[in-house]
Amino acid sequence: MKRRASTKIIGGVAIAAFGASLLTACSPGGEALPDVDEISGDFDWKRFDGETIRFVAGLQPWQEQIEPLIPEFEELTGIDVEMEALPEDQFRQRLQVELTAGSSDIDVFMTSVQQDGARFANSGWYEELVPYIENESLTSPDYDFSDFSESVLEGHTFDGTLSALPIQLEVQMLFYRKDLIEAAGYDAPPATLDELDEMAAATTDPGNGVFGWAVRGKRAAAVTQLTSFLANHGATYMDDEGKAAFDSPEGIEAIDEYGRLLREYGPSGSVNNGWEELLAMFQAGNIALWADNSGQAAAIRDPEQTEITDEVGYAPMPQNGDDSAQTFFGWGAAISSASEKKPAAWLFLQWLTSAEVVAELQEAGIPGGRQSIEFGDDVPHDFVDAFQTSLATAQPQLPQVQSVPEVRDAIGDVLVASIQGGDVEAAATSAADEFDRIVEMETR
Amino acid sequence: MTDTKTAIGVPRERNRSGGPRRTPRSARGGESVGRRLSAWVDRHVLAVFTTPALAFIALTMLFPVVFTIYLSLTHWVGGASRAPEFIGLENFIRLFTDDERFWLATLRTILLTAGAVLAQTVLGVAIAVLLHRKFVLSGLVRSVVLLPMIATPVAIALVWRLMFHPQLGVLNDILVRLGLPPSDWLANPDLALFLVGVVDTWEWAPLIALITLAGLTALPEEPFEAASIDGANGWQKFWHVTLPMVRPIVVVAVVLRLIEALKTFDPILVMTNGGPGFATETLNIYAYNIAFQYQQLGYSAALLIVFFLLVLLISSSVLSLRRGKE
Repeated sequence: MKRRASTKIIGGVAIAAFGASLLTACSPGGEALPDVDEISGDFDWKRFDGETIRFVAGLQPWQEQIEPLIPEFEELTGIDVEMEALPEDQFRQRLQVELTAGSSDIDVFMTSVQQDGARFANSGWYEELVPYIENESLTSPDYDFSDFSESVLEGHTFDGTLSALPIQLEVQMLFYRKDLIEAAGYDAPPATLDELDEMAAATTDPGNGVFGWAVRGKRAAAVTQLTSFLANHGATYMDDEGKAAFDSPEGIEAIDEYGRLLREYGPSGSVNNGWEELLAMFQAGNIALWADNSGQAAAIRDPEQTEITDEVGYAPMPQNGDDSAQTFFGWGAAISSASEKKPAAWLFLQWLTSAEVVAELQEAGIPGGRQSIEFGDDVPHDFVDAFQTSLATAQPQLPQVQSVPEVRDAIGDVLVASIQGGDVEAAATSAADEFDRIVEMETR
Repeated sequence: MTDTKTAIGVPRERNRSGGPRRTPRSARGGESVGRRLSAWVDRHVLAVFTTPALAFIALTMLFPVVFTIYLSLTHWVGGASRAPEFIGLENFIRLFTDDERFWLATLRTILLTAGAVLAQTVLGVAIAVLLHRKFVLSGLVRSVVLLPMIATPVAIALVWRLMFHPQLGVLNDILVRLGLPPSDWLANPDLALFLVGVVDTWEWAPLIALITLAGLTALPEEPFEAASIDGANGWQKFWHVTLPMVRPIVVVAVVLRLIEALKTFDPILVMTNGGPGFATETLNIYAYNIAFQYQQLGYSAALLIVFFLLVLLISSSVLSLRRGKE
């Protein structure tokens, strides 16, 4: 009898303790704001005066430019914004862990729709934005939603649900040092990959610590930069049926060239370089030709960060034939579906994508996806030209599948093999099998 | 029923405490709450003392393990907003038959652990024997040797990553000044795993040294005196007297390190993030990628269960080795 009683007690205490832990896990930290359809009355920026929202972002030139503007929003609305900015890898990981756990701590987050869109939407992590935009009590009459181009909004829409708004558009672009190519006897940037090959060879100068050519080599990070090489060789990531196609002879040629150029003219240890490392090297004057996304330009043009600002030229990515080899990438911002302060979060997202803020950032050379906004006069003309020419014919930088991080790792591994001078064909074939398996898993 | 129990309980309690009774005899009919509680505790002493520990174990260990086993049998994408889908043993079948990355990661985990722990043991014991002697500033040297172990692992990993950097790192600077060709260090896939092991050894050899040193200090003097009288030289004394006596303690240190080394995570994540390519992707890093990059929580759980069994197998076989020798 004694034993049975004690077992009961143990069971009871365990259940009680477990229940208590569940309760604490579920109870919200603060009071939730009303739903979007319960809000009425005149539009008022001060409606949520005194609230605090949390914004999670990647450490990027865009974020550097937006950070000093945030106090303006806080003054306008009385809402406190806690911004948390982490280096891109850590940012992605942190975001995903918190969203997976269904945490209500994040209100607004940066998101790259090409990378995360389909997956995040499928997991239900994005708050549908149209009800907020259409609610006149929550959206300023000056917002002018129709200013966003339809094709850009389409890229932010999944299963008919508008999930994020663009905050930054990027194209892959060639950053080059005018002084270095002039010294090597050239007066214009390379127009084709063959010219690039030649110019990289001519500007490489190990004695002075100058590498003729650089592009990302780190596993997953490099994949966005490979797309233009595939296009230059007439290859694609996948065929019309969604099967891997980068292991075609043209694809292997492209991956081979990507690796060879880096091996011959790039910095040693390229396989560990993402844009963060390359930006630092370019700013330090160690690179003559660098292909990366146009968002880097803001950091290259900042005289406080580098002395080479005036020597940098901007050109579209070299293109071998008539077919476009231009590619784009986009960053957006979204409201977390688990947030308990969605209306306040919408005010912040609305402000981030408002004409004034977009204009201020575009003035600094960071284009935001509003058609009516022009670049500032200080932005170099060759940058504006290169950006607009590229964007006109650009294709997305990442394969349009759901499991983007996984296929990026698989393709990135082939790039690493290529940079190391390994057997590209064997690596590409096995990565293509992996790609097909991953995509097949999605539809099960 | 309750009355009888109380009646039996009270005198027992009085006898044990031996002190004066605070409750007057007249109050016996409506006993004070404290007294009844202590009587109750007295009767259920076993349950009362074991419940907190059992509840703690159930909550923090049993529940996660059982839940992980359940997860390993599901396909779960999307985290808290979606329900897991039960798929039986499919995850395990894929793991063993159709996942090259898993096998390579297992191989790397074993290579890294074996290499690093072996190096740490040899170095750690050597350092301990050295520090066991008294010399000038020996106290200071003891503290300095322990420093790598005390610093924050992530900070250490960041510093090493910088030192290994091909263009910015101090190591290539030294090589070039010595007239040697620079190395790619962590960017060289053939070298990266080895270097992770070197950093791990640098960081954790002091732990083995510390434990061994404690063992050495506790050794009796007599066997050494006897050995000296028998004419044993320094090396013979070390090999035939010191080592056998201190071995049980070294084995404990090795087992501790072995389990930790199998689980190495933060230094790898910071230094290489599993790269270049997958050259330093161990089981832990792979499981992390599957769960938090690819969002396949069920598959990741399956991998972790296999990993758990591997850790259990290795550590228990090392321990049984020790028992066998005793």
